[in-house]
Amino acid sequence: MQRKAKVTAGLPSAAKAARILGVPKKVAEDLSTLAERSWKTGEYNIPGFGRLVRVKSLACVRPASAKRNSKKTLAKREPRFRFVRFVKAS
Amino acid sequence: MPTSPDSVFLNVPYDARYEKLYLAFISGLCAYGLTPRATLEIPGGERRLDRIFRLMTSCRYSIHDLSRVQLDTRPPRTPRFNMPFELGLLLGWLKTDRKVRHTWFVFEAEERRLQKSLSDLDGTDPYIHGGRVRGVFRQLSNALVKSKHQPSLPQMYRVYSHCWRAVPLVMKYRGATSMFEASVFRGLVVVASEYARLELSSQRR
Repeated sequence: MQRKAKVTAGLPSAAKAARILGVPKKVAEDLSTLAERSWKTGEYNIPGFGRLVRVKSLACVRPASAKRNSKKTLAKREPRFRFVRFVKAS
Repeated sequence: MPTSPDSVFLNVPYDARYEKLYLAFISGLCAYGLTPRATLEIPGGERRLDRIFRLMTSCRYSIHDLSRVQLDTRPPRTPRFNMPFELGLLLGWLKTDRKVRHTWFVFEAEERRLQKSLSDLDGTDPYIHGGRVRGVFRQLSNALVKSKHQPSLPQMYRVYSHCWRAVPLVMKYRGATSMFEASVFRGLVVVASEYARLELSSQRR
């Protein structure tokens, strides 16, 4: 039967979650860094790997052709991001 | 397998339409200090059912979302039976082993639909999320009302929105093409736990 659960879990911890799920230490550290940096600066990047850059989506009008009328596309409200790999310094 | 006191077995559909709710469950549960586990962590093989059962019974709690009762759009058009099947498996285990401490929750998107789709569960009140992210957070806070610390809805939503933005990067980092891959799931749980820690520690200051 369903009961009201008494959750005694402590504060959330990425290290604990990584240990339970068997995530390699290096991966867990990189992901924690990603979370911590994005929390502070709003920039999503993983050191030595890459980052997300915001994609501007502009409103545009597709011109009419012989077969169809012109089509107006509005700018997207939700921010979209694309991935950019870091360039290694040679 | 020993029972993990902070683990939650997440029994939800894995399809593109469910991505936001899937992430909402991960973010919400991490905000409560819990660690979600899912069947997608289990690699394929002969003994898949055994491994699902072992994973399910190793968790202290389980969440079963029975909202995906519609027919799939791809041919052959079939409904998904995995979620009710896994709930049945769990209830069978709980009926036969009475010493077990396991708490389970049923989630649905629509009021009174469960009484029609799975009338054997009459007497069980499902948590209705309405197919919305905020609905998931609201119902999680109802289900986990007796928990040690209570993250607020805006806090859970902030964790969720940070995770949602980080998804493309986590996917690239893990070399995945879908959110419903084991490595991405694990990565998202780690990221969500870290965001939740930052959110709750900023509140304490």
